[in-house]
Amino acid sequence: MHEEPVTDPPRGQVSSPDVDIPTFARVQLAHPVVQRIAEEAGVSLLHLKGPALLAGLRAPGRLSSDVDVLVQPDQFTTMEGALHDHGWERYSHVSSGSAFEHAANWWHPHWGYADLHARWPGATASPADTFSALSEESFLQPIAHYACPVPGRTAQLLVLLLHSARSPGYRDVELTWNEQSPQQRAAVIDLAGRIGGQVALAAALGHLEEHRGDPSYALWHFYRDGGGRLDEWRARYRAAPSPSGRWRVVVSAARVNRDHLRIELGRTPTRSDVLTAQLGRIGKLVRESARMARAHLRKRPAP
Amino acid sequence: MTGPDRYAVAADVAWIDAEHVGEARAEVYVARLPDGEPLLLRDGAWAIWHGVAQGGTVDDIVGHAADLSGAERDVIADDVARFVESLVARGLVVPTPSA
Repeated sequence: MHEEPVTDPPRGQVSSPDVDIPTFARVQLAHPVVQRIAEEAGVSLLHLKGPALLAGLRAPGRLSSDVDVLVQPDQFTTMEGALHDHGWERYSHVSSGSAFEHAANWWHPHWGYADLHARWPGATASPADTFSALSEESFLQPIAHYACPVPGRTAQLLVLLLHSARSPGYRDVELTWNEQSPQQRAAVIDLAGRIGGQVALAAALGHLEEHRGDPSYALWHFYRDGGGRLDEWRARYRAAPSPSGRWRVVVSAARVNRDHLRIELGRTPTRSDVLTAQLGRIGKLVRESARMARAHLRKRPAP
Repeated sequence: MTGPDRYAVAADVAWIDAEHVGEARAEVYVARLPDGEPLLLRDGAWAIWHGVAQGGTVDDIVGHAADLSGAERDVIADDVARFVESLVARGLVVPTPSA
């Protein structure tokens, strides 16, 4: 929807550029939009990464493409309802977004994507305890001239480090670790301990082998070295903290992710779409299982 | 006795200048929160916006816009006043009566 110029003198100098608004402007403005919605709904959240970072922690030349916020866990449903009321659409649910079941993905025609985090991957403490610890030194940082709550410096560093542990190709520990003072590193390690993020932090810093016995070792190993879908599901199964969690992993592995299918197709999938994808998924799992079995047999010594 | 109205960016408005990311363009993106559409103000509108962002009377804004754009104050004064009123009508700018 385009509007007419507002008034005579700036004719042609005022427009509603919702189609071609540059990414930097869209993301900068989207943070305050989400913040305002949260404020009106009485929801507490923290803005993470991108424009929410302290100036010295932004990797040069790296621009965000979406909004990341960590929501006070008790208020997650309220925040989702508020986004919906303001014209945002949910693209994926928390349970289907990733191996960590950590975020729901929302989209708005003007503001693009926003990841609404219920927890931060790598933190094994409860979401409430994690949010509380990451909020301790939070402060208001202007983003597009609007005050948005962001974590303190130590929490910002830890969030970036845990993020890098699951982001192949983005191991930016130079800025977030190597250039930090010994005192700052100690504070990051201390905070990681308080949110149960020691293994993920070790993965980010290249010390994962010190945690071989940890249930989440295989998962971080997968993120570090890659692997097939079956490797990922096996790692997720091992890392699940409870029998019900392991059962959810098994069910998720076999079931088509409707959110992802919708994004892939660009429309709501029909029953036929789901059935076709389901058969393809099972076939892929069977083929991958067979491939792994063959590889295992090849490794066995000859009798 | 009160002086002329002063103007300021409304509290529920976010805005970002292209210069923020090193773009040498006279452009600013503005949105009223949380449901307003993004607006692009460029050139003369950009200069006026920055005048408003400094805060002040219409006369102050005219002076600031003239400095930024290189235009003559007398030539742009009426246009600036009308544009400021249009920004007020959109809820992007608010008058803050002086004491």
